[in-house]
Amino acid sequence: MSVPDGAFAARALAARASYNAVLARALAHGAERDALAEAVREVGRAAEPLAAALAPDAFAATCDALVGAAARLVPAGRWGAGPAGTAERRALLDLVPRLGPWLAVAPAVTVAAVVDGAHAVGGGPGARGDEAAWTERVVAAAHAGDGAVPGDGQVPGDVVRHAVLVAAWRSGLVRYRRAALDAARALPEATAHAALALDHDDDLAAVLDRHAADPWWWPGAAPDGAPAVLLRGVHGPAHVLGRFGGFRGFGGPWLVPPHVVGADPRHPGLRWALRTRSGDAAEHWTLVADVHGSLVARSTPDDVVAHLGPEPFPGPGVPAPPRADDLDDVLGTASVPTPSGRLLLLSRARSYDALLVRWPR
Amino acid sequence: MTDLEHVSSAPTRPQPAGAPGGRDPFDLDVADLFRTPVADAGPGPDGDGAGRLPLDEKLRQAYFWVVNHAIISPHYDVEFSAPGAPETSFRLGDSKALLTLPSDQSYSSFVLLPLLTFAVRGRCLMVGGPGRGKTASAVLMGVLAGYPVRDVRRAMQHGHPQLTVSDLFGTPLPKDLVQADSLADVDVAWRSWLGMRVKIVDEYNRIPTRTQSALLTVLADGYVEVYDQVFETGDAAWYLTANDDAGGGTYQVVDALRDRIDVVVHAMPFNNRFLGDLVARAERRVRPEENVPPEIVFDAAEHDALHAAILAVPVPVAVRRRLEFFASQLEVLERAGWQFEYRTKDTARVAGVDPHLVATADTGRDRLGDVGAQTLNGLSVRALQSLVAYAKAMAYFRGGAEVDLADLRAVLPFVLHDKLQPDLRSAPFDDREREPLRSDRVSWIRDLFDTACRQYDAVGLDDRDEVGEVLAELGAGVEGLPEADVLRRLARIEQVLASWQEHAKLHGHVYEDALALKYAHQRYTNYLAWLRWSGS
Repeated sequence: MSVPDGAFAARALAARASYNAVLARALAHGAERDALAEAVREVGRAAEPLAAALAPDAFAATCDALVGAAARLVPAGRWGAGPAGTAERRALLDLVPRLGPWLAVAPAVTVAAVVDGAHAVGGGPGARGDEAAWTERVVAAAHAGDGAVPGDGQVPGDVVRHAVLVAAWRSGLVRYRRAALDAARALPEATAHAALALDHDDDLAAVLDRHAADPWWWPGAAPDGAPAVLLRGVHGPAHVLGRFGGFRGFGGPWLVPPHVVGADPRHPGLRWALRTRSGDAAEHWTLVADVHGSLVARSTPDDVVAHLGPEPFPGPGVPAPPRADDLDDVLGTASVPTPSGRLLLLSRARSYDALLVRWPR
Repeated sequence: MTDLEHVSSAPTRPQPAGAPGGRDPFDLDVADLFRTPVADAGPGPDGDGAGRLPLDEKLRQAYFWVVNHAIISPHYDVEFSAPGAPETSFRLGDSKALLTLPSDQSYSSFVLLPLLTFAVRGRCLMVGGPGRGKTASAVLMGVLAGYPVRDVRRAMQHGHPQLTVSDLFGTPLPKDLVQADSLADVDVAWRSWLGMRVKIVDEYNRIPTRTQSALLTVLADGYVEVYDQVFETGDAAWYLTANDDAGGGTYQVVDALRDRIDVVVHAMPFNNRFLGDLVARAERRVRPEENVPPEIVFDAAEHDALHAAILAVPVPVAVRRRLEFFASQLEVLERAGWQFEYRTKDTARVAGVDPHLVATADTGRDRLGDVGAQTLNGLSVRALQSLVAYAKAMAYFRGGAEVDLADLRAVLPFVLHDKLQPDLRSAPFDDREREPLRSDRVSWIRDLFDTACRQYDAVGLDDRDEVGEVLAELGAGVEGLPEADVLRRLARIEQVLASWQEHAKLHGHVYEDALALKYAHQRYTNYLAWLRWSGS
């Protein structure tokens, strides 16, 4: 196998025995020889610019981590053919070289964390993330505070992992919300600001506290420009916060329009229960959604039934008379009060989407 | 292609959020995101212990790694059904062979039972033709215990006709043999395998009888004695292999040694549809045992904790009662003795009388419906202990908070495989439909248990169990019980026995219940005598 000239090649030659062992194992595990060789060449080219930016030890460890990661991804079929490849491959080739400050202090953790993060955001089962935005937030977090080494008491590896996690949640992985809110509080403030894409004048603690209590609030996310709908018997238009689900043929989860059956009172504004019916059989679903991302997944009936509190159809003030352009095919609704307004999730007879709206206070 | 060292990051048996051990699938943690092991990562994201799998999950990960990467065994013969799920099955061929598609996670016995043996540190016999992975499976268990492959192979004992006790356990030091004044002065160079947590004896039916007897002591009691020197081997999982367990070895396996074995599993034949995997593995020179992921290796402390956690799994009364009912059916042989206590198959066997002939003489019972009529023996205490241990292990493996009837039913045929002797001359085996059960012992034992459970339901013992109430009263203690109450309880015992006198056949459970009532009666009688003597 030939390697390009340069710093990576020098490292490969210096660590020839261990690289050979790593590559032999990858071949033994089913990697195609040519694909593996090309993957190593690719990570070599990606690593080359880092030679000037990193200390020799950090550069060597980065090269080792990159080769190790490629040798795991190729036989597992997670490298991907063609110029685009998989999210993990893009993370190794495009993202890792931009994370100099982290590579200088925790190269192995950084490579592993972004590969795992990319898998979750851009390729794993249930992934619902914005990979491009996540990439930019991770890069910004790595360079936050001028790429300063974490302060006393902070383990570099933890800072990297927490920042990657926070950026992943901010980019749509709603299931990591609680963990990310905790992690954001543990991060250096500049890093957290960058991972969350907050403005510098935003008060981090205040933002996190307010968002924790109101999943649909976020600085700058005012719904003034959002489309509005009118509902029978309700005064004033409601702003549409999101549409979730969809027809299975177009990538959604449902074969028939869903029926909203309730809001989970343990997670107000965050989790909703829905049901679809096919013949006599009912399927239960949970919608988890906040201002950054959403997920619709099957759930057990016990989970749904045990925690539902029947909510009356909301209507601040005196019910308004019907209007011509009211939604007239609402199947089911559930509503929850939040600090920024009353939320209502509704399902419709002629739509495969569940619609989340809010009447601002 | 699969990554040999990859352990799936997904939970192997996700539990609903509300279930014991269940996790909320919509609330993931930092450890869920970062699964790639990093050597220089320092402490995990959540401090010490972070990233460590719960032991039951680790055990399942080990199972799935073995079936997905190490042993090509696409058999799911340990079937489970999800509660309330419809059963999908098909009948194939002239014999209308039933193929069931299980609705819950099901397993390959050839991998699962050795793994449960590892967990409970039991004794597993693997039988089957040469080249079916018996030894490979045993070696994998050794590697799961954290031993290097080379050490596991070196420690494996290969049965052969010249194997001596010294070969197996160690030899006295020659210098001591010459100089020692007494046996106590003779140091023995013990073989290193004796101290390992996984012990493998290959082709144990080729070991000469005398050496088998020596092996029995280690296997059963955990110590070995040579030249008056004793070596305590400690708890260990044992794996024994045999090409042919039906007496085809060089030496007949002594009964006591056979009885010490907790489970017997068959190495399944290779499914030729998977030849491609075999070819690829050979081409890549993959040796799974040399690539066991560190995430599924149990160190000594984890092994101890795993065993302790399994022992702590409770067996609910409802499950225990069914096992009691089943076991009670097997021993009774009404005409084997004169005194009530001796009306058992054991009485006939000890006397050298064929239990089948005694059973045939009993014309007053339903030979087809009587579970006990199909066996030549009952269950030993050791067999029951093994059953409970493996049922607990199965429940633990499946993530259950307590032993379920399905857990017990799943392990029962493998535990009783060599412990229940079928009476192949009995009437149930003459049925053409049941002809295959002559050779398929796993299905036969499972059918016995299912039949016993149906009879248990028919008798309605879950709803009405007078003997259980009598024993529960007695179990609460007699201290301070006034004479009037003792007399009332004695009368109740006699009432129950009198009611059986009129109608009941002496089925196994009736026989054992009658003996239990006699026991309770005797306890009360003794207490009453003491009460009257003391003048209380």
